[in-house]
This record gives sequence, C-alpha cells and structure tokens, in this order.
Amino acid sequence: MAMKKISTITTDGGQNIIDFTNIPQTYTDLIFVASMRNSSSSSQEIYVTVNGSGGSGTAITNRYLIGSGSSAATAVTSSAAAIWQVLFQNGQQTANTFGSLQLHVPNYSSSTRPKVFAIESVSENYASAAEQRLMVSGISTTTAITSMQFISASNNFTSGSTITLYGLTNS
Amino acid sequence: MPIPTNIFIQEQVLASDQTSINITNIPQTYRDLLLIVTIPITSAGNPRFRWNSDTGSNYYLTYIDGYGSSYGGGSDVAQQSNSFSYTPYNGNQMMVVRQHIFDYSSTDKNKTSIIRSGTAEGNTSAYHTRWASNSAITSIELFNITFPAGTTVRLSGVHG
Repeated sequence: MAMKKISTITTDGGQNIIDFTNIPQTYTDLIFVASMRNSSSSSQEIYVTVNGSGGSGTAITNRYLIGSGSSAATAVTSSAAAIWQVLFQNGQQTANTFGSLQLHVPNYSSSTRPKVFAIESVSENYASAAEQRLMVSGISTTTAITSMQFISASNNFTSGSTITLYGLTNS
Repeated sequence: MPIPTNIFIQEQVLASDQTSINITNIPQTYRDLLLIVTIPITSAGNPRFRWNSDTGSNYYLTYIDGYGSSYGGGSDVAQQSNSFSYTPYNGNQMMVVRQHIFDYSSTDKNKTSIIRSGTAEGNTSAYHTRWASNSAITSIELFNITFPAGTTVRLSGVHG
C-alpha cells in the first residue's frame, strides 16, 4: 500500500498547539487530513509552522485564492514565519461545526530541495458565508522536515479537533 | 478491510533536463489515477498534457487562478492539449501539481480530471479538464516546457 497512516492526534480542548514531532523520514510525501475548530469567539485563524519555528532562514511565502460564497479574493504573504491562515473555523461559525483541511508536502525529507506545500481547506457555516481556500506555500531553505505544528491563533482547539498524518511511499 | 488507496504505480525523477515526460503502459486495474508532480522551475511557464498521444482538438478546460494581487478565470475549448499548470513568475520556484483523473480505465465516458497546482512565488490554481474521448487512458505525456533535472513524477492508483 502506498498511503500509510503515521499518526492521529485528537484534542480534548486543552491545547492550542497540535505538534507532530519526530516525523519518520522514510516516505516520499506527507499528507495531513484535519477536522478542526478553535474556540475563539473572534475571527481567529489556524496556522502551521515547520520544524518548530519560522524564524530567520525559514521565510515562507503563502499565496491564496479564497471563495466565500459571495465573493472571491486573492492574497500573498512573503517572508512569513508560518503557513498563515490555513483555516478560519472558530466561534464565529455555527456551533458544533468543524472545518476541513488537507495539507500535502511532497519530497518533505529531501535535504537538497526547497519545500512546497499544497493546501485546500473549507470552513463550515450554516449561514451566507463559508470559505474555501486554495493555497500554495513555499520555503526557500532545503532542510528536511522533521516536525510540523498546527497552532490556534487564539484560545485552544475545540475538543474533538483531529489531525491524521499519512505518508506516501514509492513502493 | 479498508479499500486501499494511492497505490504506487510508477515514479520518475529526472536526472537531466527533458522537454517531455512520458508515462506509458498504465495498468487498467484501478478506478482513478493520482498524478503528483513537482517541478523546480526557473522561469514562467505552462506545462501541458495529452492523453494517449491524441493531438486532435479534444481537450477542454475551465480554471481559476489567484496571483496574490489579482485573480481570474476562464476556459479553453477544443484544444489539442490541456494546461497542466502555469506560473507567471520568472525566477526560482517549486511548482506542485496534483491531478486526480476519474474513471480513467472506463470505455463508456469522456475522461475528466481535477487539478490543484501552483507555486508560492507565482499563483495558486484550480482546473477542471475534460478529454472528449471514451478511450481508456493508457499513456500520459507532459510537455511544453523544459522539465529540469530534479523534477519528480509519481503516479498512483485508486481502487473502486
């Protein structure tokens, strides 16, 4: 089988960081599949950091295409410390709804290639506006990825938020 | 038992620059195909694809693009190939393309795919494609740019 589950983390409402550490370096690609919500009552995002920090030497460019149901938008952030705004799913959306996300990292274990991330996410909201996001993000450095962190910008992840990490193999 | 997915079929990692990439003899034992390609492209470009070496005017496309400062969309009708991805950026960048081809081995319907692609420096894009042929897909050709050494191409199958 070429797609293998590595691990699943499900929160109990007591954490604002979901941290995948010691990622095995034996796959070709990583795929994160998530169902998430943060408990903030304001419009707070969920974002992702790589190898623990997006500090100096790991500047990230994020490019977005966003549809809300009533309008479209595009944006770019450069020299960022994180993969920003992968999902907006918080207390402003309908209660008990969770957003969905898939984040694909090809060639994550390479020590010679810059890293690129392909992200799709949707927020759930039983109202007139709900977002779908398409993103491509890139890091210019070539360090292999050994950990990734999903972070709630404010307040903790809602209990039941779940992320599963899969690895793709070439055999 | 869960249905297996993303079953590895074949991989190519280019050791030198190539002007085309060919995937041939695709087994007909899956329902869908997943094609994941990364290209360390160094200039603006528009890689394209054909199926089964068909050069007829049989390819259709709708697309949306986000560039960061503007966005757009459109369609291509009755073309001799389909766009696989696109970047307007002139410079070093890593292009990622994820293509899901539906019911590729069927012989009673036109073939469709959904593509998600882009580069962090250039654009993020979504395409929907149709090949106006009921033939099963047995080969894929990528062309229209120089694919640099280091380009990776991975084909997987999904069981129905």
